[in-house]
Formats: sequence, structure tokens, C-alpha cells
Amino acid sequence: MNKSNEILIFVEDLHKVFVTEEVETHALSSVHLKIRKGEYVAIAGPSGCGKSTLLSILGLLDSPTEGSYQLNDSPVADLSASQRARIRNREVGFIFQSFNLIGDLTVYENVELPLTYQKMPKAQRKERVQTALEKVSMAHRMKHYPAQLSGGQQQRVAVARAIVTEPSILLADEPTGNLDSANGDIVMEMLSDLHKSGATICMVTHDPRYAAHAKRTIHLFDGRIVEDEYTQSEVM
Amino acid sequence: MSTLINDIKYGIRQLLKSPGFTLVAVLTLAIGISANVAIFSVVNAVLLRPLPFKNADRLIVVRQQSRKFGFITGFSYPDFLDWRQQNPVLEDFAAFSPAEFEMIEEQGANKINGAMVSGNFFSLLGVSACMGRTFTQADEQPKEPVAVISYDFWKSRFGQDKEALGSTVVLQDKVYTIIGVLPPGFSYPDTIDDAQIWTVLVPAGEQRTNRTYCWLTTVGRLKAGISIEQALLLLGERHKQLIEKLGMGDSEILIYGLRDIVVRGVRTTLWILYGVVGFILLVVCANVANLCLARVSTRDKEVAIRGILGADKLRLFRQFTTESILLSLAGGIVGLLITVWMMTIFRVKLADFVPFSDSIRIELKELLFGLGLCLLVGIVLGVTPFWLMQRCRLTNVLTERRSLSIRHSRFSNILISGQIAIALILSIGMGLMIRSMLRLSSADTGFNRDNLLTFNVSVRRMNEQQRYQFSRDFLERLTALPYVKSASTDSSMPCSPRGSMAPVAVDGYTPPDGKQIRAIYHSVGTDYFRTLQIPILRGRNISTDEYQKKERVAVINETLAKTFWPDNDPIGRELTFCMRQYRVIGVAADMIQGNVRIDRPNHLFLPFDVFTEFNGPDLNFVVRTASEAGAVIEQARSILRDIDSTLPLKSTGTFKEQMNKRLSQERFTTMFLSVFASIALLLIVIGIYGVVSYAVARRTREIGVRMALGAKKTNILSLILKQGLILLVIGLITGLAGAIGLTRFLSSYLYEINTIDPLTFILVPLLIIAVSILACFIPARRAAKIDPMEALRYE
Repeated sequence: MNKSNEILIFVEDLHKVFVTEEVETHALSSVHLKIRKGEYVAIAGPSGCGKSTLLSILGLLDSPTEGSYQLNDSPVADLSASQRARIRNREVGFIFQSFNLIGDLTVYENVELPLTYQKMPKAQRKERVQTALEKVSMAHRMKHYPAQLSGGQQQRVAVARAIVTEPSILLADEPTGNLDSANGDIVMEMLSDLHKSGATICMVTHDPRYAAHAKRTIHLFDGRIVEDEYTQSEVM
Repeated sequence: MSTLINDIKYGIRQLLKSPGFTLVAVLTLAIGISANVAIFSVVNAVLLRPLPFKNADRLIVVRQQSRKFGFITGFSYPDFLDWRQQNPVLEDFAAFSPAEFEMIEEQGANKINGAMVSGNFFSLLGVSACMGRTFTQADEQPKEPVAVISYDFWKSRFGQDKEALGSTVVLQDKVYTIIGVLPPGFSYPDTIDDAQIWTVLVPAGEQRTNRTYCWLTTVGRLKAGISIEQALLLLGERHKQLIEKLGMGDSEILIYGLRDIVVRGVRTTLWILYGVVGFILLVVCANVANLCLARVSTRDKEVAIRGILGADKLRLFRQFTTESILLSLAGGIVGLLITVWMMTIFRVKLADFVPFSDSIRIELKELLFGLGLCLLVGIVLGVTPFWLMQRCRLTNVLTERRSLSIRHSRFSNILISGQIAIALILSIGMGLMIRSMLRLSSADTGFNRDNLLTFNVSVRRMNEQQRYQFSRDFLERLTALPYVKSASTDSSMPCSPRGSMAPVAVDGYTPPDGKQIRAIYHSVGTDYFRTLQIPILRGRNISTDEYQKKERVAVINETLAKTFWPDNDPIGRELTFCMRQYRVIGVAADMIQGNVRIDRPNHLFLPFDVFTEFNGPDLNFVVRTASEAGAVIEQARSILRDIDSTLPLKSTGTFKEQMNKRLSQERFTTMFLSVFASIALLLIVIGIYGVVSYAVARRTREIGVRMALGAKKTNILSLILKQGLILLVIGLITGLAGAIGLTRFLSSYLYEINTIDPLTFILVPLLIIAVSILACFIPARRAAKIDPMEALRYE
């Protein structure tokens, strides 16, 4: 995860329209966005402004209705489902508000899961899982099931799962939303540490306190970027 | 590989996590898989597995058919020799005749089933003795009689003593030297499958020289490359030339594959049974798929997470199919135990009408079939949830939205309607068969079949006078027994399907179609009509005086009387039978001969003491008892021992038992359909209950809102019932259409019942409606009891 001025995400004139039987909802309109490698970006805005939709498109979970999207200089808007799955697996790490660990897998197996989809040899997987869990201080709980962990611990495991593939970018959707303030602070510290070690992070939050951890904050309102605010040190 | 192991580990964990689901699914699958494997093993043994003979696919059976009368006969001995010596299409040609040997042992005489076969019979089949030798054509020359015995006979009578070779057995008062023991399990399936002793066919007298005496069954092996059609063409022409040259009859040749002729009576039955278990497998799959769907609908989030982390469709498909294959393999393992149990029952129940039933067993082919079935079922069960899941939007994980329930419900509803349709088809089939069986068992036979006992005694060594005396003595002592009301004799027992038939003529009568009138002739003893309770409609019974004076009198049945004298009284008129004149003294009511399905044939009853020409080697006795007294048989045996200890009492049984044997195929099919239709009904009850319960759970919040808005309990009850009833109506309409199309395959089994029997087509759907409403009502009532406050808090 090297820090550089290379553009990792390049989004131009992006639109997303949801069409139901009678109604067209414009979730995103004319979004232009560049995220460089090593950046820590927060996406903020009120409920229903399109934060999660933007994150879904950035994470290749959804496709834009219009506009272009390049990840690592490669256009990704029109890829097939299996190509998207492959890129998600290798380039993107997700952290969700509700952790989204698989309840029937142990901590170790949850973290190992994305590596199994890469068909990585077992020994190498073990080493990577061990390292990731140590980074989030959860190595001692690797044989536990998610239900046996606290919310904060579950989110740390989710972080380990997100970083185990050494992705180009970490996408976090309200990562502290289901946590108390103490555990929320721990997770935010963890993300800051990851950023310091070179990770690119894009985090959706509506909490200005946590948005402040990021070096750049993008404000969305009614599907449009209304403000793109850098802290002094990050202004390019 | 490690991914597969991970999938298997995860799959096992998932199954163990829901023991209730796993247990129900495994047992349901076990029923479907076991029924299919068991029936496949029957079909394989009977229809598919090669016969255990050399070049079995080239073995044929040749018969002759009279063009004029349609009778099918075998070959005469001289014809057989001609065919064997010079034949352009057959490599070899052998003949045989079933035989019932009377074997004299220290304890007395015993009846042993056997066969007389031509010297080349075993070499044609490619069967060698496991000890000693089989016959050769040289054995056909009259010299010291020789015999070969079955392995079972060697085991039971000789205790597998090797000294059996060269020892002797006394059959029909002739001493035979045992020259060989046949291999274990050997049996020839066409008419002599129960033979224990084989002797060489060495006919004498008429049997050796008369070309009209067609008493031999034949088997041949076609030359390589010759088809049955080609053989029929060539042999047909040759046969035609031969009968023209000899000026004999008008017969033509019929050729069948050996297997075809052996299985032709059961082929349709087996395919029907196969169809039934196929339907059951569909119901089972639909049921388990529904269970899987209900379970998997709670896993949409897990699948989405896997998708987000990079699992592509193929990977997800593997995940789902691994789980479902594990489930179906578990069902297969449990099913294997049920299969073994079912096959034990099948072997017993099928033995009465299915050839090769001894060879029904689980071998590699059956195991592979079961494994293949498990994999197929597993894939089908895996595809269904995968198909629904892969359409699930990954972004729902972010928004916590669920999109699966509606699609799941629709698919689930289709499965339930399909199950109802199949259950209806099977139940209608069951209903038709049950109604038919009831009619068959209550059909008018023309005689009272209750409390009628029958057995026979070999009188082969007695002359006419001795037979006459023996029959008088034996009947007198029999009728003196406390539980015996009356007793008599008959050469063609009406419970037997094979009555002896011969032409009957009346001076001045010309049959309208030119065909001779034939009748089943009964050489009967005194008290015959009273014993069988056959009403005499006109005239009278044969009197004791007429028996004693050996007068040529006859009683005929009503159908025969109407044929010859439609407008006149037959009493006192003369008829000709076997070149002798008989005076008609009575007309008896019509009766069946063995099978109620066949139109009432002509019958001619003659006094036993007068008509002696065709009296066979056995005397058939019929006894009317006061109850179903098995004890009477023992008492009869005791009387017989008293008269002559060497005489065996054979073929004992009641009339009902004898006649029921003819219905074993129908009875088994009815039982089979009933069992599996009931299973299908049970499965649809479980299925409907599951689907409606799931719907109630899914709509709990909606129900709460409705109740908060003023809906009464009855409104909620009808809301939920309506959902079940819609599925029911769709299922019933589809099922009725299917039943109309498919029940025609049962037509050959039905007796006096139409394949679209109105009563069955009304009652069975009503039954399905009743059980379906019951299945809907329980969850519907639960829904109506929901507390609106609780429901509004429900997520």
C-alpha cells in the first residue's frame, strides 16, 4: 500500500438512476471524483444523499447508469460479473456498518475467505490471515465464532478480512455505526494506522467527528458533490 | 482441493447446525432415492441385465400359431428334429417340456418340478455342470436313463455330498442315474424356472411320431448377424413349404427374443412402477427444495458477503451444490438401508409374477445408479437456491434490504402446486386400482368360492377300475369328516386358469363364422354342482344312477346352450364330443375359468366314470368345508396315508388362494401405488404446511398492521387460507389434466372400471382438498392469533 500521487479512482460525470415501475430516482448526478493512492477520504452527507450508492459503485457492487469509472487506470464500468468479482477480491477491501461476518465461519475462516477465492495455497493463506489478525489484535480469537465476540471485536475481524488481500483501497461504510464510542474510537484509530502505513481509504460517515479523521471530506447532497474539502496538509 | 474440503466442512457444519431440517430432508430424500434404486434394481434384473446364457441376445423362442383359431402351440417332436437338423438361420435348436416328477423316497412319493430337455439344451445355453456333466445329444438314444439336478436340490437332498454323482433317483417308477449338478442359481426362465431335476427328452409312441402333437417348447440361438425379422422371413417360408408338403394345418411361425417372451407380462407393470417412483422423486425433490429455499432465504446476506469478497457465480454454485450433494448423499446412505429392506419385500411379493425375481439384488450397477441419482438430486437441489441467490443484489448488504422473499415465495408456490398435481395423479391411480381390486374380489364367478378347498392326488399308477374305487373310497371318508359339507372331483378346476378345451358339435348346427365351437370339459364326480354351489338352471344334475350305469349324459352351461339352441330347450338333445354322442340333461349357470377378466367360456360337464380318455395322472379334489379349515387338509392327508402311504397329497390350497395368485400382479401394483400415493399425500401436507407457515412468518408485520387497522381474526384466517387454496386449485387443475392423460396406462389392469372413473375423479380431489385445507388451517389459525402489538415490533 504505497502512498503516491497516482490516481487510483477516477470517476467522471457519473449518474445512477433507479427505475421502479412508476418512479425514477436519481441517486447520483454528475459526480466527478478522483482519489489518489494513499488518500484517506470521507464521504459525508445526510441520509438518502447517495453515499452508499457511490460506495457501491466504487466497490463494483453496482454499475453506474451513465459516466465512466476507472480503477487503477482501467475502465471498470462495463466489466462482466465474474471480472468484477475478481477485481473486488483483489483490489477492494470492504468494511461494513454491521460487520457482515459469516456466522457459521470462525474468525480465522472469515478472514481466510477472500483468499480462498484467490486459490492461494493453504500455507500462504495461513501466514496472511495470521498477520492480518495480529494487526487488529484478534489473533488470540481466531477459533471463535462471530457470535462469541463483542461488536468492537467483530469489526476488528472485519477490518482484518478487508486488509488480508492487501487491496488497493479500503471502502468503509459507516464502520462505527453499530459501535459504542469507545469501540468506535478503536476502529477509527485502526483505520488511521492503516492509512499511515500507506492504505487508501474511502469511508462513508455522517458523523463529523469521525469524518475529521480523514484528510479529505466529500460532501454529498441529493446525489451531487456539493463540497470537496481537504485539510491543509493534504491540499494538492 | 482445499477449497472443496473447505466447502465440505462448511456444508457439514451447516447441516449439523439445523438438525431438524437435516433430519426431515434426509429422511424425505431417503424415501425417494431408495424407492428409485429398489425399482431400478428390479428393472435391471428383469429387463436390462443380460441373461446368464451364452450369446443371450441371440436366444429366441419359436412357436406356431393356428391361422384359423389363433391358438399358439409348441413343436411336435418330429418337427423339432427336422428344424434342428437342417436350419439356415439357427446355430442350434433345443426343445424341452416341463415335467412334474413323482419321486419315490423312503418317506413316500414326492412331487418334484422338473423338465425333460433335448440333449443339446445345456450346450445351447452355454451352461456347464459345476460337478459332473450335463447332457449331450448322445444321451437322447434310449439307454440307461440319466438326470442332472439343480444345485439347491443337491444341497437339500444330498447335503452337497459329492457321492450324489452316480447315485440314483426313482422318478415315475424309473431309475435315473445322476450325472451332473448344475451351477448355483441356474434356472431357465421360460416355463421351467422352478425345475429341480432334468432328464433327457426321449419320447415314445405317439409323442415321438405324431406331427400334430405339439407339446414341446423350443429355444434356439440365431446365427451371428441374423435378426429376428430375417429369421422370421426365412423360417416362415420354410415352415409354409413343410406344412404344404405334409398337408398339415394352417399354422404360421412366431419368433420371440427369449427375454421378450419371459418378461412380456410384466414389462408394462415395471415401467408403471418406475413411473410411480419417478413421480415420487419429483415430489421429494420439490419438498426438499422448498425446505432448502425456506432455509436459504435466511442466508441471502451470507451469499452477498461472499459475492462482495470476490466469489464469482461458479464459486457460489459450487458452494450450494456441495451442501445439497452432501444432503442427498446422506439421504442416499439412509436410503440404501431402506432399499435393502424394500428389496427383501419385493423379492417375496414379486416372485409370484416377475421372472428373475431371485436375481434382484444390489450390485455395482445399482450402487452407481444410486450415486448418480444422489448427485443429480444434489445438483437440482443446489441449483434452485443458487438460481434465486445469484439474482440477489449485492448492494442489499449495504442497505440491509431483503429482496429474496417474493421470488422465493413464487418459486415455492410453483413447487407446491406441482407436488399437489403429482400427488393427485398418484392418488387417482391408487383409487382406480383399489376400485378395480374391489370389483375383482367381489366379481361373480358363477360358483361360491368361500370355504372351498382343493388338492390333488397322483393316481398315475392306477388303472381305471382302481382310480374309480380310490375316488369313491376317498370321497366317502372325506365327506364323513366333521367340517366337510361335501366333496367331489373335477379334471379342470374352475380356479385354475388352464382348462382343457376341445371341440363340441351338434348335428345340423353350422357356426356362423365357420369356426368350431370349443368348450372346457370337466370330468366331474358326484355332488360336483352342490359342492361348488353352481345353480342348475334347467333340467337336472347327473344322478348317482347315471354314474353307476356310466351313461353318456352331459350338463352344459348356459352360454353353450344358447349357442347351439338359442330358441329351443336343450334338455334331451344330443351333442358330439370327442367322437361320442352325449345327451344333455341339464343346463348350469355360467362360470369363469380361473380369471374373471375373461368372458365366460363354454363348459361341458361329463360324469367322471364315463369320460376317462382325458383323465390325467392326477385326481383333483374339491371340498366344501364349514369354515376355512386348514385342519381338513391334515385330516385328508391322514386318510390318504391310510389308503395308500405312497400317494402324495399335492397342490393344497383354497380356491380363493388359487384365484388370488392370478391377481398378484394387480394386487402388488395396487399396494405399491397406495403406499407411494400416501407418501405423496404426506409430503404435500408437509410441503403446504411449510410454505404457509413460512408465509405467515414473513407476513407477521403485515398481519399486525392489518389487525391494527381493524381486521378481524376471520379476515386474517381467510387471507392465509386463500394463499393455500390458490396453490391447491392450480395443483388440482394440473393434476386432473395429468391424471386424464396418464391413467390410460393402467387400463389393462382395471376391471369394470373406466380410466376416467367419475367417482374416483371426484372423491380423490376431495381427499386432497381436505388434507390441504388441514395443512393450511394450522398456520392460518396461528396467524389469526397473532398479537398486533407483538407483530408490529416484529422484524
